[in-house]
Amino acid sequence: MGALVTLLHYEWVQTKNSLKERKAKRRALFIIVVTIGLAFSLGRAMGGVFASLDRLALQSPGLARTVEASLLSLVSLAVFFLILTSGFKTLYERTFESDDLPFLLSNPISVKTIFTAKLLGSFFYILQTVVLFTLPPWIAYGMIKSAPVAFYMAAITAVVLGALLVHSLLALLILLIMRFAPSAKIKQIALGLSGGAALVIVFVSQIAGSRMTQEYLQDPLVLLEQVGQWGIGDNPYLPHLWMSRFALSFLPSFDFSSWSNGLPLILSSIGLSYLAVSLSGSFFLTGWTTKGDAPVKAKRRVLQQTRTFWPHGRLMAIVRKDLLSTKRDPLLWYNMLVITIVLGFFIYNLMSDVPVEEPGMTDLWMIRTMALLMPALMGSVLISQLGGISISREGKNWWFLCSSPIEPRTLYLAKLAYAVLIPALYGVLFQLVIFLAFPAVSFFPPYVSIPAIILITLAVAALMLMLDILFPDFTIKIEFGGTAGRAAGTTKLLLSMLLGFATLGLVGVTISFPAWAGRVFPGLTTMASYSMTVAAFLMVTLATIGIAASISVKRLGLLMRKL
Amino acid sequence: MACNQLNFHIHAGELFGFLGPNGAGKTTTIKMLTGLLTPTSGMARIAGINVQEQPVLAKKKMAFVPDSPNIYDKLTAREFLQFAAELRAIEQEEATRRIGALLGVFELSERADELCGGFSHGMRQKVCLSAALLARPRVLFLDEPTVGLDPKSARLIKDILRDFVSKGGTVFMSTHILEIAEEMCDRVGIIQSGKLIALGTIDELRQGARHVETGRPISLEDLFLALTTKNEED
Repeated sequence: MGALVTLLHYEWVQTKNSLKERKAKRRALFIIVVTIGLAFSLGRAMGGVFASLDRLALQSPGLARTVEASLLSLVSLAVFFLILTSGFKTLYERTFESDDLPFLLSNPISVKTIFTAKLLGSFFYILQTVVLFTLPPWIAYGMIKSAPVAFYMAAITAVVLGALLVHSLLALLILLIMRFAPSAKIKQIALGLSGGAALVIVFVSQIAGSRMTQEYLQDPLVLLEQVGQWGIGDNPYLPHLWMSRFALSFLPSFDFSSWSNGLPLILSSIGLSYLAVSLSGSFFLTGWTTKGDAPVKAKRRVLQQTRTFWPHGRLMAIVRKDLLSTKRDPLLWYNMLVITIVLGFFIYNLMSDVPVEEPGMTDLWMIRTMALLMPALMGSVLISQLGGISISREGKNWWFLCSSPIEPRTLYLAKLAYAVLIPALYGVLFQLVIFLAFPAVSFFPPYVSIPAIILITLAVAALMLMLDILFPDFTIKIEFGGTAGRAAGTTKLLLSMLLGFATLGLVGVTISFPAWAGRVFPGLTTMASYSMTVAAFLMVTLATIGIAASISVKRLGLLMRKL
Repeated sequence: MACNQLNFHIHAGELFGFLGPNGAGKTTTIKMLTGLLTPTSGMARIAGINVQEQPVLAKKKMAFVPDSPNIYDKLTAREFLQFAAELRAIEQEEATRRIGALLGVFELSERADELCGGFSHGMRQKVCLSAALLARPRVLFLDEPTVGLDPKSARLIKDILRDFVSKGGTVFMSTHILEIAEEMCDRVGIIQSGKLIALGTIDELRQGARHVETGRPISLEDLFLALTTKNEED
C-alpha cells in the first residue's frame, strides 16, 4: 500500500511539475475555462429539456417520469460509450507503453502495485472527460427538481462507479489480449472494434435524428411517447440502469430502491477492479515483455508503379509523403466513414423533405447555405485532425524537413494542399451529388458551388494551419482510438476546431445574406443583394487565405531555424 | 549561453571530431552549422555559403544525421529515401539507382519495403545515413553517429565515412566515444561550456603532454579529462 501511495504521489508530482511553465499554466487555464463552458452549456441544454418535461408532467405525470428516467439512463449509458470509444487507447498506453515502466519494474515493487498505479492513473485521466459530459445533465435535473444533496452525491457516485466498472472491464480485456495474443494485429483489431462502436453511435444518432425530423417533430407528444417506449427503463439487470436508478432513488417521485441498484453497482465495479489487479500479477509482465512482437509489415510495392502518375518536385514530394502516411492511418478512414454517414443522412433527409413548391427567398438561401456549410463543417473536422495540424504531426521527424533544402513557402503550400485535398474532394463530390439528385431544388449550380466549397475549405485550412504554425506542438498525438499526448495537444485541437467553426459561421452569415438582407436593408434589390453576397464572400475567404498564408510563411521560416 | 565565441575552420576532405562532455554545446553547434538554429551573433559558412543568409543553398551542399534517428513510421525505408531524393531534386532514375545501391551497402535491401515504424534504432540510423549520403553532399554533419549501434553496424558506418572522406567529402562528427575520434578523425575540437578549449590533430594535442606519474605519452581519454578538468577549474 505504501509503494502504491508513493507511485501515485509521484504521478501527481509529474502532473504538477508539467504545469509549472507559464505556457503550460495558460494552456491549463484555457482548458479549464473551455471545459467549464462546455459543461455549463450541456447542463443548460439538458435543463431546458427537463424544464419542458416538468411542464408536461402537469398533464401527464406518468409519461414525463418515464421519459425522464429514459433520458437519464441514456446519460448513464453515455458513460460506457465514452470509455469504450476513447478509453481503450488511453488505458493501453498508460498501462503497457508508459516510458517509466522499465525503471519501475526494475525496482523492488510488486507488479500488481505498478499495474494498480497505472490503472488508477488512467482511470482518473479518463474520468475527467466522463464527468464533463455526463454529470451536467444530472446536476441540471437535480436543480429543476430541487433535489436534496444526497441526490447529487448519489449521481456522482453512480458516474464514478459506472466508469470504474467499464474501465476495469477494458483493463481485463487488455490484460488477456496482451497475455495470450501479444501481437500488433490484435491491438489493431481491438482498436477497430472500439472505433466500430463509435461508428455505430454516429449511425444510430443519425437515424434517430432523421426519424425525429421526419416523423415526430410536428407533434412533440408523439416524440415523447416514442422516447418512453425505447424500453431502456424496463430491464433491471443492466449496469447503466443501476446507475440511473441508484441516483433517482434519492428523489421522492421515483420508487427505485437504493440498495437493490447501488449494491450490484458497487460490487460489480469493485469486483472487476479487484479481478483485473489480481490477474495483473500473473499476466502483466508477460504481456509487457512480448508487446511489439510481430511488427506490421507493409505490402511490397514496385516503386515505379506507384510513382508513374505523380508530379515531381519538392512541393509534391511533401504532399505525397503526407498522403501516403495518412493513407496508412486508420484515423483518416474512420473520419471519412463518419463524414460519409453524416453527409449521407443529410442527403437522405433532403430526399424525404424535398419542397413541393419553389421555396421563398429566405428558405432558398438557407437551403443553399446549408448545402455549402454541411460538407465544409465535416471537412473542417477532418482538417482539424489531419492537415490543419500537419506541422505538429511531423513530431520527432520535424528535423528532417528543417535540414532539407526547402523554402518555407514551398513547405507551407505543400501542407496547405495536403490539408485541403481530401476535404475539398468530399465537398466537390457532395455538391455534384445534390445538384444531380435534386433537380427540383435550386441549389447553387456546380460552377458556383464547387469554387465556393474549395474557397471555404481553403480558408478554414489556411486558418487552422496558421494556428498550428504559430503554436506548434510536436508532442501532439492524435490517433485512431482516442487522442493522446500532453494537455497542449487537446488545447490545440479545441482551438483549431473553434477557429474552424467561427470561420464557417462568418462564411454562413455572408452566403445567407439574401435571406436576411430584406429585413436589414428594406429597399435593397435582389441583384444588389446577390452582388453584395458574392463580393463579401470573396472578400472574406480570399482575405482570410491571404493574411493567414502571409503570416504562416514568415513564421515557418523562423520555425525551421529554431529546432 | 550554449555556445560562446566559437571560431574554427574545417578543411575539405577532412574528418573532424567534435568532442565534449554532456551539455557542452556539441549538438547546439551542429544545429547552428546546419541552419537548424539561428545564432544570436556570428555566422557560419558551409562550402563558402553563409548558412544564415542562404540556408536553402547551404543545405543543398550538406546533410545532417541527428543523434536520435527519427523517421516517418508510416513510410517504408524505400519510400523515405525516395522522399529524401525528391527533396534534394535528384532525378528519378538516378535516385532509384542510388537508393538501391545504398540499401545494399547498409544491408537494408531485405527490409526496404517494410514500414520504418517496425525498425530498430540501428536500422533507423542506417536509413538516416542513407538519406544523408543519397544527395552526395560536400559536408556531412553527424551527431553521435555510433550511439546505440552493434559493433558490426558501427564498423560499417566507420568504413562508409572513411570512404566518403577518401572521395573528397568532409565529415563533421560529434562523439562521446574517444576511441572513435582517436581511430578515425584527422583533427578534433574539444568544446566545454560552449567554448572551444582545444583544436588540432590528436598528435598536436598530445604534444608535450606526459602522464604525471609514468612520464609516458598520455591517451586521448587522459588528455580529454585533463583539458576539461583544467577548464572547469579556470
